[in-house]
Amino acid sequence: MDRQELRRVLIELLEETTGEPRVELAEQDDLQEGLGLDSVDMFSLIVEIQSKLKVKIASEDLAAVVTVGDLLDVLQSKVEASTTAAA
Amino acid sequence: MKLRNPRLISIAAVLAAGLIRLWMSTVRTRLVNLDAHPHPADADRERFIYAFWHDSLLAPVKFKARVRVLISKHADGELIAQACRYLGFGVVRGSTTRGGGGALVELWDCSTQVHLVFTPDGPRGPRRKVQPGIIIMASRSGLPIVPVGIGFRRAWYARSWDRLAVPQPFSSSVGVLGPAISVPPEIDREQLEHYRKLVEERMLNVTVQAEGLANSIAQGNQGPHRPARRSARDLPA
Repeated sequence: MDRQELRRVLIELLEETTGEPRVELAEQDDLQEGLGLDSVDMFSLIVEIQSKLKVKIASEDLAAVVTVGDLLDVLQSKVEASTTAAA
Repeated sequence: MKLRNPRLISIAAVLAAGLIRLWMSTVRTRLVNLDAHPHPADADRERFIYAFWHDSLLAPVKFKARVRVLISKHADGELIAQACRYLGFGVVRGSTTRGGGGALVELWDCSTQVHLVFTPDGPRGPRRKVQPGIIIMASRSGLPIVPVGIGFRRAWYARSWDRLAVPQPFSSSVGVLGPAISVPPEIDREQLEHYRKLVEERMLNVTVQAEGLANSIAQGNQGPHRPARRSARDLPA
């Protein structure tokens, strides 16, 4: 799954989590201050992502996540690791 | 004055934990369980989210169970976290209001092995108003919420936002545990608000009952205000 697909999944799950439609996400968008996600929204989003992508995201993985780009970096590395492990 | 030196923080944490344990050992605590389950339950068999108001923070010291608590990352958090560990609690550092949700993810990971303890009006209030974090956690983890109300016979109250209760030495306290509330796995915003209000209402109810019972004890009256209950026992000091 490439970054563009991951971004589409993220948009879809963000819509489910916040109940607000989103057309596009910019890499530099700040998750909390830009998109207005609080910790509870983030937690819900991470649970949904784990379920959808079948990856495990630990709390340490989120420590440095501030922007959409940061989150996509984490997701990309998790998906790649899981694909490699399955191969 | 804030403690910054890690060594001093460790020493202060040991002293604080010892003092709290000694202090609370003089407070006789009666537990009234309105639920069919014995509480605290054996965490290997079934797990719950125990919800206390922030003003009763000292009460869980009498709660002998395998639990994780969320301690915020504010300046005094390290001291409190270390003191909690000395008191036998597992600790997750973070906040339900600040940070990227990592603390909730970590608690969620723990929910398959231990009970969770939440103070759902924390870390900054408003006092006795449930914030949605506990509802989302119950929904995602599948753990039912047990509302716990605490009443003190004689206590001092801090001037902080939560009016933290410090029971006077050799006084009594009563803990009332209400029936567990299960939150469905997939909830929308409306259902979230419904369960938030429900948990808040149940927590207020058991708190009124606990305070009534504590007052009854103070007046030497064990009868008319005591609610129907399935089990009650004294916790060891």
